[in-house]
Amino acid sequence: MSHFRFSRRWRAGGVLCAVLLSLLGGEASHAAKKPQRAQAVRNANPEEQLTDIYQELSRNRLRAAQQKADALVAEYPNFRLGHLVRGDILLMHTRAVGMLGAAVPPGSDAKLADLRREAAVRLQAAEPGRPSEALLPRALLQMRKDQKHALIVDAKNSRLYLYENRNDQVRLLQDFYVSQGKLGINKLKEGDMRTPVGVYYIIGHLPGVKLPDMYGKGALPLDYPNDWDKVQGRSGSGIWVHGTPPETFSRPPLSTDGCVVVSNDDLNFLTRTVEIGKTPILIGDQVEFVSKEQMERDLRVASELVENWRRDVESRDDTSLKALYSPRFKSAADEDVSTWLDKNRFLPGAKKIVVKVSDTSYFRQPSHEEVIVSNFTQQIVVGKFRHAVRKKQYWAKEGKSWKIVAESNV
Amino acid sequence: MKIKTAQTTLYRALVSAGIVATIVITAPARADEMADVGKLVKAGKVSEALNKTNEYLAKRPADPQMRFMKGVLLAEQNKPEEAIGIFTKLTEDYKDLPEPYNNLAVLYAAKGDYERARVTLEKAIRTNPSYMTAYENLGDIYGKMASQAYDKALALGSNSAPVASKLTLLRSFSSSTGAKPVAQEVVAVVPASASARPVAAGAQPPLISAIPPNTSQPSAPQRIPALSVSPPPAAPPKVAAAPAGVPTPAPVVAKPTPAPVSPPAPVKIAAAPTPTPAPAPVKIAAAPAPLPTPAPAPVKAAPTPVAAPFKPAPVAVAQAEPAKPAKVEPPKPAKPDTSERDAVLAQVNGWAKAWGAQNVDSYLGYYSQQFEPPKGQSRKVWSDERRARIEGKGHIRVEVGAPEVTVNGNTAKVTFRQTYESDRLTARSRKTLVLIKNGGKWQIKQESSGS
Repeated sequence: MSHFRFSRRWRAGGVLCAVLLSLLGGEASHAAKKPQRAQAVRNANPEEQLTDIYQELSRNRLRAAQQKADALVAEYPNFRLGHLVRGDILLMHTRAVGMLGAAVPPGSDAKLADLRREAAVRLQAAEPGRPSEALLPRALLQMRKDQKHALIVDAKNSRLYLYENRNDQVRLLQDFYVSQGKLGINKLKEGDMRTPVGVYYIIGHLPGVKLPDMYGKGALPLDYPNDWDKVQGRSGSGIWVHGTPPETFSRPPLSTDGCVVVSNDDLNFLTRTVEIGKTPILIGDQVEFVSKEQMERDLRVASELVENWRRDVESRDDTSLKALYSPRFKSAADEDVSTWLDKNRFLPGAKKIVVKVSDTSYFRQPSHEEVIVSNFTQQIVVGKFRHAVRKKQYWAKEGKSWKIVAESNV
Repeated sequence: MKIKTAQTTLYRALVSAGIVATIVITAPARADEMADVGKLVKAGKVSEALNKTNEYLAKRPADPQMRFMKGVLLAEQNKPEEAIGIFTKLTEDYKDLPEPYNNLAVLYAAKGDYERARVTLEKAIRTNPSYMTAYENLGDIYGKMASQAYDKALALGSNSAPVASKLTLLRSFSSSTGAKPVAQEVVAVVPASASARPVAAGAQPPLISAIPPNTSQPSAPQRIPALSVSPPPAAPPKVAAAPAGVPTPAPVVAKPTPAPVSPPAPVKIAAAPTPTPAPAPVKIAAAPAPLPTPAPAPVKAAPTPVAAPFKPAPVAVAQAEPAKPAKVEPPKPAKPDTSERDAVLAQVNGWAKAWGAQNVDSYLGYYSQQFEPPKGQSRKVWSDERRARIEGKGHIRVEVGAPEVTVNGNTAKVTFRQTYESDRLTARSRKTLVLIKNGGKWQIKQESSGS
């Protein structure tokens, strides 16, 4: 059978659809004669539906696209981007639509620009954006066994990845559209409308009912500023992952005061998934996906750093140990390296000590600045005495070598 | 030139499981042949069907229905160029049949020539003013819905009260669908399309009558296109350029039917079916531009130049048009003097042009001193506002479509379909200008929109 069809009946609609051929390109199947029923939309989130709609359009199936757009806004009446796309599709019945929101009357330029950005980000994430199964997130060098999940915020692509950690394997569970600070990332100080870059943890849950409307269904606070931020003098607080107010399904990509905002559906899902105090959330604009081999190399580097440190502590080689710390180093109490090390010395008079490091995690900050954050339990055994402390170290690459820039005992 | 068979009524039917659109001719003999071809197609024997069609065409080369069939079959056989040839020829010979245009468009589209496909489809729509109006109205509805959708997208709230509707009411039945509704019939005729239509062939207005058996059957609801009753030849000038090649007053036969209009006449239809010779605001535009010979003369209808509301479609026209549209002009009672009308129209066109060119001084110059600005504004306020509006746009395009002119002494009234397009907005509306003659020059005294 030929790949095109003649219309057998006069129906304006059919013809109008065909007019569309001119703007959509692609092959010239006669537009949606029998529009397929939009498949059950129950499980498709709005973004998937949006992608589906665009696929229909690229296949010249205007009617199917229309139906799906209708269904989308019926199901998510606050999904503004859905309305925008639906508006375009309505116009496509009669005229060429060159770009998203082509016929939006002037006066809402900023809002329109926001929606366009959101669309770009969402559509891009759908296909080319998703990391391949074979690749691993470089940031998650090694998770602790009992950390079941990790979140990675890709600020460049307005995306939040939720990884599952099971049997020492990480696996992408889902990814979400997120909004970030109006001025992007690299938070430095209070009120700068930026989202911080770094390795953080979800440290709480605030249910929506206790919060103002703008936080939507709730919030998951982060531990910004972390030790490294403090060393750097970064200020500000109250960086949360939270939901959206009732009047809108999602917010523009760059629209928050520094928080990471997801839709309420997504927030609910994340709230059910994360573990307070355990789940890390890594934020940055250099989220990379690499091969298993690359991961292993990176992990080797990271674990050698901690191993060197352990050895120096064990052998009480202060010179060598101190050399592992950066001149920039400062403790939380604003102490320098020597003070800090003195304070952490255990039974200085002992002849021989044994230092063990266990339950280690390594995360690589997904940013230009190369920082590895390691968490581990340090156990010192001196004869019959044992002392265990949970440590967090921030290693930054300075020139060719890695140095500890911040350290704390948890 | 072309028409051999006087009695050709075409209607659409489903052939072969409904893949193929085709026009079936009602003359029994041919119906048989057609049925044979249909059977072959249904049986998947396309080349046999094609042979049969060729045989038939050898005898009656002009037969439009068979030619159409041949085009369809060639297309089925993946011979688009040949099929295009056939359909192109058909559109030349039967300008008011939408089907060949449609199929032609499909073939163009298959080649990736979307622009030409678009233009061709627009021609298909233009074969019938009612389609055209419906199409435009549909476009307006889509536009309105889109604007609502945009409002929601931008969270503008619903503060925009519905603007006065631009939708156009059809005030008469088109003259191109020259017949009464064909009842459903033998083959499963698609309800919406069951319009019988005359083959408009050149000079002789063919008799339409021959609608097969059961005309009696009441029309299905909503069958707008079929309802037409052509205006009696009485008021020729009014029926401004009917669409291409339509034998102006579709004759006799149609008349007696105050067609089955009655029951579910859809909202759109305002005027009753009574064949009022009224100045039908027949939508199809005799594009006003190429004036001097003003549109009205029903004669020059043929090569409908791109009608107003559509985007300029330069390309396509090249393709087929010139051929042989037998514009044999039935000597109509020549309308005596059209010079005043011409002058009025020229002014209206000049006005639109100045507007489009954003030449505000010139534009304002078309308004008479007696012009009454809307909303009781002073002339000054009004003209400042106009200036700001017009100069503020990136570009403007204004088209005057299907103008109807009534001249009464020193007053003239022009009603037309205005297509306004700027970088921000596209709007179509009906517009009425009242002009008065001042010192030999026609100027606008009143401007109003809406139907």
